[in-house]
Formats: sequence, C-alpha cells, structure tokens
Amino acid sequence: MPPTLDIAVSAARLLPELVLIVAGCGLLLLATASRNGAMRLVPPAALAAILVALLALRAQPLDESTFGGGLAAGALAEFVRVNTLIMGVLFVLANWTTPPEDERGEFFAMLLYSLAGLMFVGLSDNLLVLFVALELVSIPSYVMVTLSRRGPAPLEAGTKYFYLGAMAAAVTAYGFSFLYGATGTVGISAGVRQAASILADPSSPAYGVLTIGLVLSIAGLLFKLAAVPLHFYVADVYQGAASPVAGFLGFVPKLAGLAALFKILSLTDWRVSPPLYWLLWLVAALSMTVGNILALRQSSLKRMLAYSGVAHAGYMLVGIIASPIGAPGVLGDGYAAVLYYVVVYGIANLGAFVLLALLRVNGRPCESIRDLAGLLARHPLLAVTMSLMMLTLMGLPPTPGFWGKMSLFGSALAAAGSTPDARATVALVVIAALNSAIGAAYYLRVVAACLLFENDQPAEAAPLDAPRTGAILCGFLLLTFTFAPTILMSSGRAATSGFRTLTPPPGAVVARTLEREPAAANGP
Amino acid sequence: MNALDLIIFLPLVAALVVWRLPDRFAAAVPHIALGVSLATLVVGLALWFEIGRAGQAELVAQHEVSWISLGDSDAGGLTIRYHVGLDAISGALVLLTATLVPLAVACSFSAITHRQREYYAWLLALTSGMFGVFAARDVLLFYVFFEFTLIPLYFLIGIWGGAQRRYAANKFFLFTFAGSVITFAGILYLAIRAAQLTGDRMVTFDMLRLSSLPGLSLVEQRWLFIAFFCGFAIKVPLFPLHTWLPLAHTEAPTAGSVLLAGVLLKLGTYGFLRFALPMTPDGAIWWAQPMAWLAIAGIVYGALVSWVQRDIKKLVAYSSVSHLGFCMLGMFSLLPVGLSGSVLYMINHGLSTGALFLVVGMVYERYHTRDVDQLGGLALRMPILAAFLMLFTFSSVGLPGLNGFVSEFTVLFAAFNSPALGPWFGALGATGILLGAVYMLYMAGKLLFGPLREPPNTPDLARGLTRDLTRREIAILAPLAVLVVLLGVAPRIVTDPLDPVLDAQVMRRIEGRSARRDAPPPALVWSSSVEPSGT
Repeated sequence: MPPTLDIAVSAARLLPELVLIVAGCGLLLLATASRNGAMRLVPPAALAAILVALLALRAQPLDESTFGGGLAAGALAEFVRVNTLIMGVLFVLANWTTPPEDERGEFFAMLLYSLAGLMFVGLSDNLLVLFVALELVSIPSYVMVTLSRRGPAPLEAGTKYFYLGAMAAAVTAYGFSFLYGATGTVGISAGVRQAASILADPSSPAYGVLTIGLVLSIAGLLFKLAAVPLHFYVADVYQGAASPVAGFLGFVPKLAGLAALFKILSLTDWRVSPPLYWLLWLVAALSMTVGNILALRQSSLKRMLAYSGVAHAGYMLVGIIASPIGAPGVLGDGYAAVLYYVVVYGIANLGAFVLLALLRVNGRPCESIRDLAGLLARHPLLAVTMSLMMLTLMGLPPTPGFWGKMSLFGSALAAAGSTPDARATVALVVIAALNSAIGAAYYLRVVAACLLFENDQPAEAAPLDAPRTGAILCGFLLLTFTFAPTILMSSGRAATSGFRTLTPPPGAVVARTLEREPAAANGP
Repeated sequence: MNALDLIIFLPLVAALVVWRLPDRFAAAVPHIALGVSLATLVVGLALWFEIGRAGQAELVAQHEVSWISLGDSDAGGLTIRYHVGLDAISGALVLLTATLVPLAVACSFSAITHRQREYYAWLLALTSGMFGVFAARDVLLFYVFFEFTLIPLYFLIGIWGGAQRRYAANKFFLFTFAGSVITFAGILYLAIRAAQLTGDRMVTFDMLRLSSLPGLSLVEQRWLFIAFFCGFAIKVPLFPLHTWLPLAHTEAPTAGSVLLAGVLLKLGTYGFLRFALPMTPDGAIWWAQPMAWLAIAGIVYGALVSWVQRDIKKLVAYSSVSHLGFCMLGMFSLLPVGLSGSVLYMINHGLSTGALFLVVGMVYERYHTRDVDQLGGLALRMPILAAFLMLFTFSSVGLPGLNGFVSEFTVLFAAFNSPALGPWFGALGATGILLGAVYMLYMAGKLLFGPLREPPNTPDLARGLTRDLTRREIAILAPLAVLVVLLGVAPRIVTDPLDPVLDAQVMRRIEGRSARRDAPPPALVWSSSVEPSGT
C-alpha cells in the first residue's frame, strides 16, 4: 500500500489519539470556564476519553500500513497503543485526587496529551515524527510534575526535569540529524537498507557519521529510560512529584524510550557493528549496579523506587542487547521480553506509588520505609498488595516479575552466540542475576516493614475510592500475570514481528547462531 | 488430580481456609491443621508403598500438564510444565516431610498463643511448598517451589521467632535468594543449551532431558556446577556459607526449626543430588575434591563451635552444619554406597535433629531459657524427657544400633574408598564423629545429670503443661523414637528401593564419565587427569 496523505484515511486511523487530544483540549477549556464544581467532572471525563479511545482502537483493523507521511501502523504500534490506554485507565484512577482541585483540568489534559504522545511514538516511522512524538510525551509530563502538588518541591522537580529533558531531547535531535545525513532519508524503515549497506563498509565516511548518529540518538533516549549515566534526575524528580505522578513516570517515558530505541536500533546490527553492543552492554551493567546500590542506601521510599527504576532500565537493556532475532524462537526474542517486562514493571511501580500516596502518617504522606511499619494490622489488604508489588519488583517466583526476568535473561543467554562476544553476554546475565539479589535486600525491607513490624500508630489510608481501586486493580493484574503470564508475553511477542522481517533474513541468522554457539560457549 | 497433587495442594487450600476462618472457629484451627497434616501423612505413606511396588522404572503418581507455553516447535518456543511424580529419592524425602509436619504442628499447640490462625496458615503453606519441591519433575517448577518455601518460613521466623527474629528472617531470606538467582541463571543456560544440543527448538525444563544431556563441554559444566553450588550450598549449608543458619534456627519457633533442619536443609543436598550430579557430571567430578574439603571443614568447624555453645538450641543448630558436612562428603565420594548413605543421612538427620529441636523446645517452654549454665539435673524432674533426649543424643552421635550409625558409617566408608577422594578424607571426616560424641554427650550430661539447677520461678506450668512431658508431648516424640530405632536396625527399608534409582539416575551419569578414563590413577592426583578426557 503506497504512503498516502489522504486526511480522511489518516484521521480514521488516528481516531484514538484524536479522541485523547480533543478531550484534553476540552478539559483545558473546562478548567478556564469554571473554577469550582465542574472540577469534579474532570477525572471521570478523562477516564471516559481513554475508554472511548480504547473502543476506537478496538474497532480498527489490524494491519501493516503507512499513512499520514511518517506514520506506520503495525504490530509494535498496536502493542504500544493498547497498553498505553490500558495503563492510562490505571493512571487516571491513581491520579484521581492527586492535583490540587483548581489545577485538575490542566493536569488531566496534560496526562491525556502525554498518553497520546506515547501512542504516536509507537506509530512513528519517521525521525521527525518520532522526535515530535517524544516531545509530546515529555513536555506534558514536565507540567504534570509541577502541577501535581503545591509547594516548592514539585516546582523544583519540574524545572529540573524540564531542563535536563530538554538537553536530552537536543542530543536526540542532533543524533537524528546525523542519521539523516548518513542515510539520506528521514524515514526509519526506508533507512534500514541504506544503513545496512553503510555498515557493511566500515571504511566509508558514512560509517562514522551513522555511528555517531546512532550513539547520540541512543544517548538521548537513555534519559527517557533513566539509564546510567542519564539517571541523575530520577530521585529528585520522583521525590518532588506527587507519588502517583512518579508512578506515571515509571512507565510512560520508559515505554516511549524503549519503542524509540527499538526503531533506532533497527538501523543497526551487532553482528556487523560491535561498538554499539559494547556501549549498551556497559550502560546495562552500570545501570543495574549503580541503580541497585543507590537504592540500597535510600531511606525515602520514593527515592528508593526511583533508583530501583534505574536498575530495572538496566535489566531491560539486557533484553535489548539480545535483540529480536538474536536466536530463533520466543525465548531468543529480547524485545518481546522487554515489552513484557516494561508493562509488568509499570504496573508494580505504579501500584507501589499509589499505595504510598494513599497512606498517611500523622496527616502527612508516607515517605520513608519506617512509615509503613505495622501496616498489616491496620490495612491488611493494602499491606498485602504492597508486598505483592515489592515481590514482583524483586522477581520472586512465581510473580510476573520473575517471568519477566526469566524471559530477559533467557533471551540474552539464547542470543549469546550471535552477539559479538558470547561470554560477555553470559557475564551480563550473571551480573543481572547478582543485581536481582541486591535488589531483593531493599525490597524485602519494605515487605518486612509492612508485614513483620508492629507499630502503635500505623499509617492510615485516606478514604479515597479511586486510587484504592487503582492499586487493587494493579494487584489484580499482577496476580493474573502470575498464573497466566502468557497473555501478555504472547502479545509482546506479536509486537516484535515487524523487526523480525525488517532486519536481514532470519534464515541466515539462525544458521549463524547454531554454528557459532558451541565454539563460543566452549571458549579456549 | 492424583494423590500427589492432593498432598501438594490440600495444605495450601487448608492454609487459605484457616486464614480466613471466622473468629468463632478460631479454637479449632490447630486441630484442623493437625488433621490436614495427618491426612498428608497417610497419603505420603501410601505413596511410599506404591513406590516400593512400582520399582525403579517409573514415576509414581505422575501428573503432567502444560503451565506456560509460548511459541511452537517449528519457530522455537518455551514450555514450563506442571509435572510432578515420585521416585524413591523424592519419595523418601516426601515421607520425611509428611512425618515431621504433624509433629511440628502438634508441638505448636502450647507454644504459639498469638496470631494463631496466621501461624497455622503459614505452616500449612510451607508444607505445600516442601511437598512440591520434592515432587517437581520440571526444573523450573522445582525452582518456583524452592523459592516459594522462603515466604512462609520468612514469616514464621519473622513474626513468631525470638528476640532477633526480624534480623534472622531477613538474613535467611536474602542468603537463600541471593544464591538461588545464580542457580536460576544456570538452569536457564542449561535449558537453552539443551535445546540447541538436541536440535529441539522447544526450550523445556524437563528434568529427565536435562539430566541426560550429551555434549556439554567441561568448561560449561564447571561453571554450571558453580551456578548450582551458589544456590544449593547456601541451603545445605556448606562451611563458609553457613552463617545464616545458626541465627535462623535459634530465632525460629520450634516448629520452624524442626522443619528448617529436618526438611529445608535437605533441599540443598537434594538439589546437588538431583541437579548438580546428573546434569553436570564432569563438573561434579572436577569439583569433587574441593567440595569434600568444604564438607570436612564444615564437619570439624561445626563440631568445634557446637562444643563451646551455652545455648542448647544453638548447639543443635551448629551440629547441623557438622552433620550436613557428612552428607555432602558421602555424596561427593561419587560412589553408589556414598550416595545411598548420603540420602539415608538426610533422612536420619531430619529425624534425630528434628527430635532434638522438639525436646529443646519442650525444655524452653517450661524454663524460658536454653542456657546450659542455668539448667541441670533435669533427669530428676523429667525422667521421660531425659530418656527421649538420651535416645536422640545417641542417635545423633551415631551409636551402633540406632539410625545415625548406619549412615555415618556408610558415608565415611565411601569417602575412604572413593577414587575421587581417598583415605585422608575418610580419616578427617571420622574426627567429626569423635567431636560429635564429645559435644552432644557434654550437653546431655550437663542438662540432665548432676545436681538439679532451675532458674527461679520455673518450671512454668501454665498452658496445660506438666512437670514432666504431657501426653501430647510424648505422642510427638514417641513416633520419632520408634523410627530412630527402626532405621537403626533395618535401614534397608529405605535403601532397598533407593539404591536402584540412585544407580539409574545419578551413578550411571557419573560412571559414564569416569569410564572414559583408561584406568583410575592414584586417588589424590585423580581430578587433574580429568580435564583432557572431559572436553
């Protein structure tokens, strides 16, 4: 199907995104129109918009087509859009009462814009569109951080997030311009062929330009993932923002960064261009280790969860290193594992933050691990849910976090033979396994506080139905994925089908893997 | 749904029921738990006789369904199955578990007074996990159960334990978890390599397939063995990794100590026997000597530390380090007699150490101290308890005629004769018997004989206790006493069904590797000659 600029076709395809954006504009208008009363309607309206968008998405046919000049529907786009909207429901529930009443309209409008941006990231097939979509994710989220509560802390957090985010975006844009210079096209799937021929000849000047472009684009995207060395903002931003917004930041920018990373990395191939492999290897190993060690040293729960997010970004990079075609079969598909993992992580992280927001000690929100002590006696259900979130993040079998780690580590082990250095890849898995053990130490502290310790004045849950529903829904989803992880895993697998056909013929890769693997694993 | 599924899931269901039971039935909770555990004992016994009838060829009560399945065999995929079944090795340990659980439940009747419903719920959940871990035939299912047992025990120690309970619970959890994630990475690697080596695109975790894998290189096997070691050696615990154990044992409530020593430590030795030996036979041969040195270090160190303990519970805990050293020594003799002695040792240690923890718990309930300096001459006060304690002490030190002797003797005999180890290992290990006799008899002597010494205001006879053992307590200890004697005079009721299975499942793999060498060179240089032949 040839690319088309037909507005009617594009509008029909983009109906879910349009619903969100129009609804966002409506909420902004509502915010100016009246200062009281109507604010009550804002969260339900946002929820309704997301549900309508979900219906509109369901009504669309699933196919691979390019449209609108730079957008491409496909399996990955489908995964991103569906999961964005489903998580969007949870985000709205979680943030129901987060922002001060007079800023609710703007806040929820920004939430909807950001979700729409994430959906555009999934759809984009053009560097320019991708960049704009990434900004549509980021800019509203800076505003959300600032609006999320009163006082100087969120202002500071929002400002910090904004400046550093803008810098990262500039780096990404700079990298994109190199990519355009090397391949001569802004189209992503159109550039794959050129990129492959450039990479085949390392002596050509274009090779250097392309490599610089890839490195810079990836560097900018690492900010979105909160991976080392672009992780330094997370703790302050998470701490400054209201808890449910921190939960939002644990998923939306991460999924946006990952989807963009998938698209950019489709321009390269470890097998012919090892430097990027080593770059990501190093970033993965450092993210896990630095994130976990910093998290271990925190007494504030929000900072701990922020740094643990850095560690989780490291685990996800293990799957990215495995690449979608590192080895045949489901287990060799690193991207599918990453997609599964980011959703599970997003749910567990959000659940933990919502519970934090709900709980109050002496009238102020619960911040440190100590504040959770004795929760079991006062709120058994919330305490058990919190523990479930922590055990999932820890990766204790059979929680969904464990299935996620299994597929991430498994993909890297299966793909080891097709990476530039099989032993380094196996070593990375060992580093990741050791890191999950470090992670267990600080997650267990939270579990112990909730369930083992006794306290005369345990935290009190605010009587808010919507966030509570959100938290329990998170717990319910995790329980479902505990016993039936296949639902989400196979949708992750389906989402990567585009990459398996994009990159060099799979047949050749399979042969290579099987032929190289024994030699690599035997070692000298 | 067969008998095996029943004993795995019945306690779990019972745990949920007990936990959510309305207040007016609260008094019945301990009895429900006891009833459920006795029911599993009956089923466990039936399964054991079934194993005896079925012979070595097949698994008893096998049940296999797909749990998680991704992809297909053309494109490549992944299957994790719920696959359970018993052979004599797992059957023996299931029976041990089934025997100890009712006793652990019964000993909690008077000891646990607060948060009873939760307590019995966790105890039953733990039971489920323990049955599952021995029954699993899928390595990943094993791993899931292995880790699942951490959660109930974490709470049993952390809520109902002694003064340092939370620290002990966290340390126990983290040690075990840290080791086992490495084991998990090893299992994944092994399963993926198995798929590549057999040319089957489906990655499965079938125990049989992974333990009959041709063509793993020696280097891979050495590293995989280390991966197994990380998880299992911490659980056993082997010498330098044992530091969590004395703390966890001492702080746990009696039932927790009994199950921890009796069953959960066996997960480590069972793991070595079931996974490390047959799946990485070359690795096991390569590491046999270092493993045996660690075992001996544990034997001697555990015994010496026991000797100087004032706290009798801690003494029994350290004695476990020593005893499990014997168990590992026998296993890494890599001889049939050593393996069967090692499994027998698992059973015997479960019975006698479990019994010792029970007795210690009974003393503690009356005197609220475990300090030998404050207690003495208890034989005057409690003749029945004294008789039981002496019996279990003799069993623990390996008096001929009781169960401990048979396994200790076979294990040392195997170490002495093993081409992998040699006389030195046997001789050094034997010092552990000597030291064992010293510290156990020293403890029993101080506690039971001499002038009567009791802390003031004791014995505390609240909660229906009597000066000497109550009928309930006698009923708890009597079955163990019978078993201790029975296994001492007729160990073949365990080893007869066990030997052919050990031979078929473990020894054949090891011997297959060893036979590739031309002739066994002298024992001490043996391991260095393996390298060229292994690759």
